[in-house]
Amino acid sequence: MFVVGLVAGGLLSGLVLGLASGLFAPLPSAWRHGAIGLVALLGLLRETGAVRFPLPQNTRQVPQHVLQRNLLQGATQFGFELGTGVRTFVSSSAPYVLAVAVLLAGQRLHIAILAGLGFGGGRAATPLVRYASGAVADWDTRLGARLRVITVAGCGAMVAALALLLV
Amino acid sequence: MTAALPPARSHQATGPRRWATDPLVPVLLLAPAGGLAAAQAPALTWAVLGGLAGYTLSGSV
Repeated sequence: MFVVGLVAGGLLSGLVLGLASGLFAPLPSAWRHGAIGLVALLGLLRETGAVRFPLPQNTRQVPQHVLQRNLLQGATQFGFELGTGVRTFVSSSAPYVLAVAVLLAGQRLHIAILAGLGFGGGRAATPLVRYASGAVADWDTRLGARLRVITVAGCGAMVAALALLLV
Repeated sequence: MTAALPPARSHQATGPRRWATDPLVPVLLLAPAGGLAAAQAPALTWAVLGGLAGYTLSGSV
């Protein structure tokens, strides 16, 4: 149910961003695509450590009592809130790159929904792969050692894919 | 005289399972998928972009 919540939360965020993207539609596509490229490159530079700036975020986390009241409902709610990306620590630039891209790319609503579903799926991949490892403490240790590579590679792949899509 | 106990081993996945569930695997799969999708199925690229963005938050709650 936690995974279901994650995907549902991502879907909602994608839907909201997709609806909001209409506000930017009147801007020339060259401006919008240029802004996406700039944000994507800044995000990648931030992940490599070449530039440093804080990421705007709501620093509140999902409270633990959500899980204590009812485990099944709590897990779904916890996943949903994490999946929206709103009430969580955002430690990587990539979600902001995605949000800006969805807002400014001038795509149809179903594209934003796909992006949101993908985001929820990406968040869900963490607990799923962790569980599949059968050794969560070891997996957590390996994640800690690889997290920088994951964020840099993730942002780099996003820059490349956006360049192919929008240029 | 008591025999020395063997050192405790931390539980680790072994062999193919350990490699298949390495934390890098999702990024290694999604990164080229994004490039392929951009060339073949642009709509799916956005789902892959979302997946990459979501997975980079591994460890964040």
